[in-house]
Amino acid sequence: MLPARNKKDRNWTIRVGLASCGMAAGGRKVYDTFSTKLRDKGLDVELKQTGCMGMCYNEVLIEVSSPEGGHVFYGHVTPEQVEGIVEGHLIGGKPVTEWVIPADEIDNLLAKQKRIVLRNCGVVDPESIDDYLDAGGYQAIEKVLDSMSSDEVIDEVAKSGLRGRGGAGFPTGVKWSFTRKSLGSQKYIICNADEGDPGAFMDRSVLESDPHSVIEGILIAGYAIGASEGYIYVRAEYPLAIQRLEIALAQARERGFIGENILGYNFDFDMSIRQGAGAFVCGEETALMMSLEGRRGMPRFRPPFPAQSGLWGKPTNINNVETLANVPWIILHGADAYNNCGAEKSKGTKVFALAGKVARGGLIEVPMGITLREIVFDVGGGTSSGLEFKAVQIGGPSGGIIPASLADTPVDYESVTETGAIMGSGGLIVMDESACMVDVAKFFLNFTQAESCGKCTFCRIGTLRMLEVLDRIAKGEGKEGDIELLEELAEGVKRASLCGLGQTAPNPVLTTLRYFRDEYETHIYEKKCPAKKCQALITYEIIPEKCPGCGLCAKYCPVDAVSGRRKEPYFIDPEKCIHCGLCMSVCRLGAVSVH
Amino acid sequence: MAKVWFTLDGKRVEVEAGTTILEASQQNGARIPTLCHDPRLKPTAACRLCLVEMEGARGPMPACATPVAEGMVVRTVTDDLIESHRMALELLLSDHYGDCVAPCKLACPAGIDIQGYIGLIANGQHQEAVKLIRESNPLPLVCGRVCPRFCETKCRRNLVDEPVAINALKRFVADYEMSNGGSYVPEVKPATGHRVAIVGGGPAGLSAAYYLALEGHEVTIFESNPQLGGMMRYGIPEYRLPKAILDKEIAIIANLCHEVRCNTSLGGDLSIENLEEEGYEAIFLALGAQANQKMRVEGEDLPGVLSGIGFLRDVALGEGVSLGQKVVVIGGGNTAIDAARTALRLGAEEITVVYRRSRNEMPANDEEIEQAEQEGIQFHFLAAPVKLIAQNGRVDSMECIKMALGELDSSGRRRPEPIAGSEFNMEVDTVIAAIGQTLDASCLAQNGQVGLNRRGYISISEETMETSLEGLFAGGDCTSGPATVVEAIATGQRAAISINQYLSGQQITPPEKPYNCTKGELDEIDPKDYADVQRIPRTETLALAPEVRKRNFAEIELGFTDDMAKAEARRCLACGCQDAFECKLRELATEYKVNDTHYAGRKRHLRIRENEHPYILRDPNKCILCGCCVRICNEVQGIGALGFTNRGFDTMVEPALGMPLWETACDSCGQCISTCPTGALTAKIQLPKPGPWKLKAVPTICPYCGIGCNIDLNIIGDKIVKVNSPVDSPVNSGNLCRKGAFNPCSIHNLRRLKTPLIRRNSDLVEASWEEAITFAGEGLKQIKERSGSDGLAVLSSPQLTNEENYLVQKVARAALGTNNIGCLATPVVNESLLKSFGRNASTCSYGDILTSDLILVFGCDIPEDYPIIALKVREAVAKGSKLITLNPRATKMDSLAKVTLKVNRRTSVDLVKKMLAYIISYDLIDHDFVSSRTTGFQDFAEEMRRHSLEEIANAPWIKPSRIIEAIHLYIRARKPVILVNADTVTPAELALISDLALITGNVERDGAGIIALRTYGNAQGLIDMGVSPDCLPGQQPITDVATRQKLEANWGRPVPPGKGRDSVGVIQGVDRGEIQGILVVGSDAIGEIGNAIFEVPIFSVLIDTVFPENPPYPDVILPGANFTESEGTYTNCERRVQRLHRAIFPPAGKQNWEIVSALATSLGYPMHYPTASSIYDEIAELVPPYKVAMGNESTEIGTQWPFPKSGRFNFEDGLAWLKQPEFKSSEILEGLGSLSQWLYK
Repeated sequence: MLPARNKKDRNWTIRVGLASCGMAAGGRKVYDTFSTKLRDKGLDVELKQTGCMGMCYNEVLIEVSSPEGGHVFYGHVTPEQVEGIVEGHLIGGKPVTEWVIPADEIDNLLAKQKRIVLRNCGVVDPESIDDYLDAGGYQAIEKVLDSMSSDEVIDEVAKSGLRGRGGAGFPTGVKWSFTRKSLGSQKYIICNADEGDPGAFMDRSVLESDPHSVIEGILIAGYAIGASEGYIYVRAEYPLAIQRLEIALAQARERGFIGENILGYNFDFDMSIRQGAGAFVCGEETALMMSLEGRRGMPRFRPPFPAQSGLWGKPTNINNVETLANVPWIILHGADAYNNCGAEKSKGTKVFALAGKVARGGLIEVPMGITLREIVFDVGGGTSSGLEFKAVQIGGPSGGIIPASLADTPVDYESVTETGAIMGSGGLIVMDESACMVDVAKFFLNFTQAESCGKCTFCRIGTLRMLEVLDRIAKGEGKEGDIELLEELAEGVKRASLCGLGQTAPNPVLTTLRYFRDEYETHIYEKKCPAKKCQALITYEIIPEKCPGCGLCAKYCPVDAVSGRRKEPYFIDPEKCIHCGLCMSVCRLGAVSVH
Repeated sequence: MAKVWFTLDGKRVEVEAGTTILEASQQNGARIPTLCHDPRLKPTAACRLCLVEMEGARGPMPACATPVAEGMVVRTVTDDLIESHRMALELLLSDHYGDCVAPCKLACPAGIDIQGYIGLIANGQHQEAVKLIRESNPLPLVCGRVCPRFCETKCRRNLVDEPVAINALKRFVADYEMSNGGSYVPEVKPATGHRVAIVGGGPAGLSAAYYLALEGHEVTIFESNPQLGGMMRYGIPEYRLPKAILDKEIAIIANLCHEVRCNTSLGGDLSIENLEEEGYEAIFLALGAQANQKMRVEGEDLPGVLSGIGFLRDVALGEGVSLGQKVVVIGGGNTAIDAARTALRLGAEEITVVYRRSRNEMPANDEEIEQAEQEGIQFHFLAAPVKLIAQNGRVDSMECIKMALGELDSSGRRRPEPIAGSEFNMEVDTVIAAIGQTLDASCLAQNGQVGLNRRGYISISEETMETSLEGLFAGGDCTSGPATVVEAIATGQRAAISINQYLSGQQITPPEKPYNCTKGELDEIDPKDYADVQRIPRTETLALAPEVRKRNFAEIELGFTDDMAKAEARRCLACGCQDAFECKLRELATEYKVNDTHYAGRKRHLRIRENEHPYILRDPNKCILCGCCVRICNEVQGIGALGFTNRGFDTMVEPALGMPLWETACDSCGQCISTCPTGALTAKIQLPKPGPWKLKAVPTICPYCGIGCNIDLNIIGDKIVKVNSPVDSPVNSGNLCRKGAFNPCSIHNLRRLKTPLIRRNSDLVEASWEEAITFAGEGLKQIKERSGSDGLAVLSSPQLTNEENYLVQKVARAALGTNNIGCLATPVVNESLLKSFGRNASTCSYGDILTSDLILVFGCDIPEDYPIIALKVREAVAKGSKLITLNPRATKMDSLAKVTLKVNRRTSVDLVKKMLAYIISYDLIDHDFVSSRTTGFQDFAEEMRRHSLEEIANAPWIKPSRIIEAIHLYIRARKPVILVNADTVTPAELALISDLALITGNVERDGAGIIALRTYGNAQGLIDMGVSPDCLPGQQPITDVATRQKLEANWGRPVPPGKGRDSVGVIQGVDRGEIQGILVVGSDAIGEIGNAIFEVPIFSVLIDTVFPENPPYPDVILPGANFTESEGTYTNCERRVQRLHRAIFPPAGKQNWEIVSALATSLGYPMHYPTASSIYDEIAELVPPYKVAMGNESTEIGTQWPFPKSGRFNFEDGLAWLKQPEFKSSEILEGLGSLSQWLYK
């Protein structure tokens, strides 16, 4: 699946995907089993760990490549299958077809993708600097130090059209030039790896799979703006990313890519990791800097912008992981190669964490300008449930909902913003007909309310008041005027909040109201949840014709609301029922219905 | 500063570059609301109220954090912004849990500040309490007796035990005032010439008359009855409201009126047209509701059938009423009960009240019913008369029918319905029908235009009391139907406001209703909130026993004693917010007329932190998270005791780990209180009850160190409640330390001298002022005659004002003829600055600290001793100034320092000498300065060169590199400022520090110099005033003939020419018997010097404020005044002369300068100063810089008197003296702190 290699595998090679996605599925055990088996059999096979290959829905995922250059992927590999693969494929020379992921599936998945940021993900061993070097790593920094002035670097990046991938899409070259122009001998560069959107894992995957490309990006940025120190601000919930970053930093330092007189040039740069405690708002740059300084992460008003007065009052440039990972590629391949791909105002590619009710969830990188439909159907393979595609949620809690009717919206900063959502950092959640939009809005607002830093009035109290209205709508206690109240609050919070968190917190509410107002109205006036999601508004019933009286539902019911005699239709007592839905999920005959 | 211009609401405005939009609009009169802005703090833009619209900006911008940029176009008032402000406020208030105002006040129809007056009673300020009551109710004697107490049912104390006896307390203070010499009447405003007619002299009319008369209008009351009072006189029986009491209260109001015309009735003697013709511009109708409602039963008009109100009126008029034995009263209201009890007192044997509903529905006060029962009145419930039957032409029996209660009626009570066939008969002698009153509108008949409402009362606008006719207002029962006295008063008061507006040509608008946040009704409150309140039973008033009272008209209720009242007042829970009068949130909420239920939802309900700090009370329920406290503690104080915790809606401000504030690094400076815009942080008031009250702010100067911070003493009556500071103060910018913020409030706890005391036969006995002053004067005169002037001495205090110090030395020199003038507290005045520069004063100002690039602190724990200076140093360091400290001990400031050198008394002289040697040896001196401005360099340099350079390496305990670093930092600095504690460093140290500044040219240059910090409030003033054995006022040497002559000419007495004794000398003289008489003037002088000097049998006079704890005592003690009680001026350490204002009266009635003047007069040297400022005028004449320093009377904040920038030092040749101090380094002056320590160690 991967782009051309610099180095052809000389031998049989097995790569086991060992990013968090692989690990969580039991990849480590598969890896160990391979290791044992290969040793036992005395096979000359190179066993490598690698990062996320993107097809997270298939984990544990392994890639077997033959000396001839063929690649075969096995999905959902269990330790028990290892023996079979070794025997059948490595020794027998024939892929074990029943376990192999069909080539057309991979082709479909890859057809519309373009991998710049993810160029090394799933290819190199993230714990090996040599792998990275073999893949062309650290050539960009060398090129920069050797032949480019700071201004040339900035020009190149500006020309590439790269925009900040943290969400707001501010042109990176412009940002760099601000910091470059700021007066001050001490400047900082910060890599923002405080990925906090629910459902987003792009930064984590990149750090886990290809930490060196981020380090190299930071070095180039540091050189460009005249900084001598860098910090990578990672949330502590990403232990694997931190571990691999630490290894990578140690290796880079050992090889002279970090430190004084890097590669013998007149450039000193030091870099270290700072762990954040996982507050969502610390993804906001001013709050992030407060946190870095050891204070409570709370945003402050800009100006002054970090470029003028940032970390410890010094000029500071903050870029997100994905932005920085793009940089070495741009330097090596040139701005034009980059801006060739993408949309009018949004160049290059965008990495998405594709999740939700999608058949092929995982880490994808697509050229800007691709439509949502292409992402959901061509790359993602449509909904996983088979139910109708309803909407995508893009941009995390700051983003919004784009309905299926707008599926042809091209994915670029401007078009997405037009729908009321935002591009965000790359969380893309696919929803099918079973999603209740009130519930979705409630979920995201609940998140932002809990994560508000509490500093400004609108965000701290306004979001709670909105949440309370949503809560009562979901409980069937909504009343006339609630939608207007929601809108009034949402507009107020959006307009008057201090930082991006508050300014965008109402987006999920506003977009669901915009596209699914009828759903709200049904909740309020008919006291019904069309998606049958809101517990207070639904009732479970057993359809007597379908019920054989097996009693399974009664067995599972946690509150003994289901009763009946064996072999006769059972009955749910609506007074006792707590709407948990267990009966429905255990009934294999579909005899439980919900209204 | 560079200027920029921008457009503010369509106006072109020019401001200094760097000004924020908020500051710019404040400077230009546009008011932008804000809650999180404090000029002392960096902007945070948290409250989101100050948003403005800026052309070209993506969204609204916070004005507090956005600096003005050239050409920017800003709008501060648009519909969107107003909507946004409203929303921000409503959101904040949707999470605000507390009572702005106590529920009792809200329940009171007249809106009396109940919590306020109860607090004053608890604090013993009874007169202030009545004053406060009269602001809303001019009839406290009456209301204190007859009010139905709507307040008490709302009292939050109901959740603990029983409500506070609010009304009894009101009666107590009203009685207290009456029995203590009459009634307080506020100042009447100048006469307006407008004439107002009040028709009806009942409570509504009297109340309107009172408030209108105070406004200066000419008020005439017309009353149809022979006397004023209305129902209070003719409806309420004597045993509840004695006429004598009523007369007193009415007299106060009648006296304010132009005229009272009794026996004049509307409809009869006058009409509205007449009044208008007579020239009354406004008329207030308060006619009452005095017509009886009919029973509508047969026989109603028979003789022996009386109306309740008619009956009571006849009794009040003293007309004989014959009742017979059996009296039946019909009705269930207060009039019925009053009639029944009055009948009892008139001798009727059997009295029955017949009421058609049951006891529960009776509208009469419970207490009244109970008392009636106790007195033996019978009640017959659920019965109604059907027919009255006569015999012999007089009622003889009454046929009644039994009733049953049915459905609820419109009044919310169950409707009584007759039970058919249940008729029964009652034998009666007299029937009194008291079933209600109404307005007799017949008197208005000829004034046809006066509109009536559906119920037959005069129709008015409820809020303004206007009738349908212009200039005609109405209130009281004639508009509402029968109601209570307090309700009538409220209408009168409201009418007065409207009439006043009408007369002064304004539009009549209802008074602005202040926003009130409330915790809700009693049943909405969690009783657990009050679980910790101590249960104390309600104090019951004294009352006559039923047997004693029931056959006479003596007043039943006897009220409270003083102790009972104070005890009861202390039961008050003080529900209303401490910040009610200052809360910015409430102010804005009122302005924007917010609806705090618009966004109602979950509210944080947190524990109030009452006992976690001795001075600070935290109520997190009122916190709006503006972060001002967090920022001031962190940014300004550098402490960081408070911070934010939690996230989202549950974010709160609290100390780390939720610790009690007292256990954190908190400095108790109270800065957080001063910056808190709401009642979330308030000062714990050092009085039994905290108020809140509308306080009077008296600007004065903090005496607790020499910095001279501007403070406002917030007082009510004779109590200092709290202290704050003006943010525009040039000295302290509104910042205060613990001493300034809290010490003045505990001044009431001191054991004060209240009467003069003189020694008679070895006992101190109380004496009159005259006696005591004559005694003191004679005593001192005798000694002068016996042992000459040299046998006399005077000690004065650096806590006294300039005027007082001046007078004390004047008494010494001119009246006693001695230069034996010593200083308390700092016995040896450090004169090194005088010797080096010719002036004993700082050479630069506090402002120079902020602009300095280097600050050298020498021998001074700034954060501990001069906290406000520490703030300035911290601010300067934050701006980039470097700090060097040379101190014996670590201070809280060391962490900010670039270099910290630990020195002690034994090493510091050595160290500075070595530094000087280094500078001279390496030729780092400022040659220009040294050659043109100083003298003595050659000798000095030679002396210093004797220290070899190697010695620097031998400097004790300090690495040479650190010393050299410090030297170079100081030399390289362009504007270095040295801070030194002039009261604790030795003269040698100070001399060498002066030399250091001189040879580097760092004196008398813009922004560079030495600031001599001093421990006591007026230490600098004391020096300037000539409290010195060898310096005259203005620091002129005693040897200076010209100055002496000038003084002699002014004083009319010779000035002794020889150097006298300083404190040390005086005390030695006392010990040796050379001093025979002494005058000590101080503010807690004993605390400063101890009372050992009184051990020696000499004649001693002490003017002081606090009673000496232990013997020996002086021969005469004259009770003086402290700084809160004195007028005058202080001179601070940067030589800013600032005015003290008297906040409260001295307990013995005299200020110190008055006492000293009187004493001088009795010494045969008459002094007659009319005011303290006349003394200042004399000082200004003799010490010209003081003329400049104060400017004129209206200058509240004195200007700083700079060290002369004339290019000349204050010597004849104009050159500063460079010299090696006379002290050897080993000679250490210990114990400069306290004189007694120095001598009696």
